Amino acid sequence: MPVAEAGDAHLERHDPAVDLATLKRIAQWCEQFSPLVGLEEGERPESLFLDVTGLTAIFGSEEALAERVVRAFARRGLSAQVAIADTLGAAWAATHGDETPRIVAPGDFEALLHLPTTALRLPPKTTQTLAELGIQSIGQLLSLPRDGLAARLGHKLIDRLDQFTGQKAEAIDVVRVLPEIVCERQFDYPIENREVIDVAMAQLVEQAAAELMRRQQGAVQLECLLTCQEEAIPLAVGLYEACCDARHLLGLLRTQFERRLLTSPVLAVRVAVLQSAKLVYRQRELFSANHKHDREFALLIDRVSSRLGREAVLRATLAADAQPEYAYRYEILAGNAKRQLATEPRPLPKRPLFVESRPIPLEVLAIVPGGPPMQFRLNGQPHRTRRTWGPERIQTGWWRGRYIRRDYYRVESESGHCFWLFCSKGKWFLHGVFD
Amino acid sequence: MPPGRSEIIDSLQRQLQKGLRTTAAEPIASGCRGLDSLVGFRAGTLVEWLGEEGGGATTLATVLARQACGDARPLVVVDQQRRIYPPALAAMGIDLRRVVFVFPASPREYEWTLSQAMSCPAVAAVLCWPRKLGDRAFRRLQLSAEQSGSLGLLVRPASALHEPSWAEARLFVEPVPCYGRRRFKISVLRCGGGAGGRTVEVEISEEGLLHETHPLHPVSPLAAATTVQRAARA
Repeated sequence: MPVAEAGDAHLERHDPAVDLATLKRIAQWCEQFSPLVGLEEGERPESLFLDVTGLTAIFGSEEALAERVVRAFARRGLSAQVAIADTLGAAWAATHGDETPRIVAPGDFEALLHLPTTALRLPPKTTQTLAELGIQSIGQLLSLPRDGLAARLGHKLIDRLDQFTGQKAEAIDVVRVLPEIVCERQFDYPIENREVIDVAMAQLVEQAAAELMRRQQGAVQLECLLTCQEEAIPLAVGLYEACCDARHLLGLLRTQFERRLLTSPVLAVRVAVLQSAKLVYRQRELFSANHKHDREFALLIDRVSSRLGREAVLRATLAADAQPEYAYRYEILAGNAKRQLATEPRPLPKRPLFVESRPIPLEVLAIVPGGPPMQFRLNGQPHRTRRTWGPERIQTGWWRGRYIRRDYYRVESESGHCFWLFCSKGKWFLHGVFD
Repeated sequence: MPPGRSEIIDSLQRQLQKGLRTTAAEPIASGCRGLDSLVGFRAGTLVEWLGEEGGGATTLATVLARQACGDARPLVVVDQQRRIYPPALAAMGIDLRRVVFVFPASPREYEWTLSQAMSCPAVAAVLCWPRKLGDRAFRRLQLSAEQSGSLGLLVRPASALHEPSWAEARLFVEPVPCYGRRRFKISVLRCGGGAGGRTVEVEISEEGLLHETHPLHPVSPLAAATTVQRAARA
């Protein structure tokens, strides 16, 4: 059933940024099992990789470790598919099988050869082509000549096969890197006075900034950890542009510190530069103030991101998708060293400036069922339509999980107001307003 | 060397001529000569667009934001309700690489964000939809915009018509039903501190360009047919 038609169901807007942030938090929590924890590559990661090399001595056996991970997830109310194998590719494939936890014996790749080709982390298009060719399992794929596969289906497939068998090395992209610079101060006795903590924080930031300056680097992600008697309070700051200005860094930390309540006295303060980048030096142009403006813009983004949270200050990029909800993506601006390039300009369909996150059900009068609306009622107000444009049919592919088929109409009421309505399975909804 | 008495007087006179504006107000062309001659949009000011939702106030504010940003300067969109649809902005010719979307969670953070964005000289324009704006907050925004030189575009519901405002220009937008392009009637409620009262009709092309409408006069009736009396000639 399309989301728009769900009656009493409680709906939350899907937010990929929050999903990613939650998965990162879970990854950090998983550091109790392994020192190296990372997310799978891709825009919307769903799997975590843990390096468990040499950890059997601590946990007893691989089975015991896997059981412990499953139990720990269950205590958090989460269900996890767990597998241990020689390579990241094989472990990923094993987690996508039926058995959990699955321990693949060292060197025993043959136990996984029956798994479908979808367990190889391939793009959907490649998987579909393989299915059309009648290649169902990884074993079938491995028995085919490599050269032919590379020529017909691309080198990505060969890479994935090699990563599966271990012929090609693959590293875990760890979620929490070791801090590049750490400045720490332990107090002789627990401190409650915020001013004293602030002074200590300022001194540590100055030390970190001086070290950054020495390396000709600027901070992109900075963390200040206040170790209290009962808890540890992290203050995390992401920057739009690498910066080694102690005053600015301290200002950003202060905006967060001012909003945090200290429940117990502080024992230690630690300032760590988690990620740094080369400082950008701009050649100053005569008769131009652009360089100054760029810096001021970066400072604005840092300030707003620090106060509202990095997820609230975004940049949009267009995505090639017909479904309006997926036709764009938001990208976090601050603390993101790897910024994606915007998509190329292309002709865009006529879309409203406001789109409802949850389409509003409407009562619509149409002469033909599913045909152009003649009259509709919105917020108790009747609107007679004067002109309509449409239908523009938008339907999603079966692989999305939820099949959506909507007939969109651009409707101008008699008063000249413009709305974006759609009909799905005989029911009408307002999806946007051309304000 | 300190400026002389005559220089100070000259500078003060120039400021008076500019309507006591402390910053040089750069004119912004909306792309429609009729609207520009009526309102005269300038950087460093607030422009309030009032109207019912779906009536075109946001469309016109977006056109002006695009004009203010030009090719390179950034636009900040502050939307508490998270309803703005970025592909629609891109379709109107706005370069999304230059747009920063800010989604504050509370009214307090909303006002703070607006004041921060408007006081940043790097920002060309700030587009926002404040439903309620206190007198002091409004004045603060106006001073911030004046100081930094950014253009504040406030789209507000028609119910805010009788609320006090610190905007340099207040415009009421109504859609005009017509066949063809979307057409709007803009009533100038206030402009440049003075009283308004005049109206202009504009229409928007598929590419998001504004044009003044030229009312077509019905074809003049033909002269009354006169019966030609032919003189019978023999």
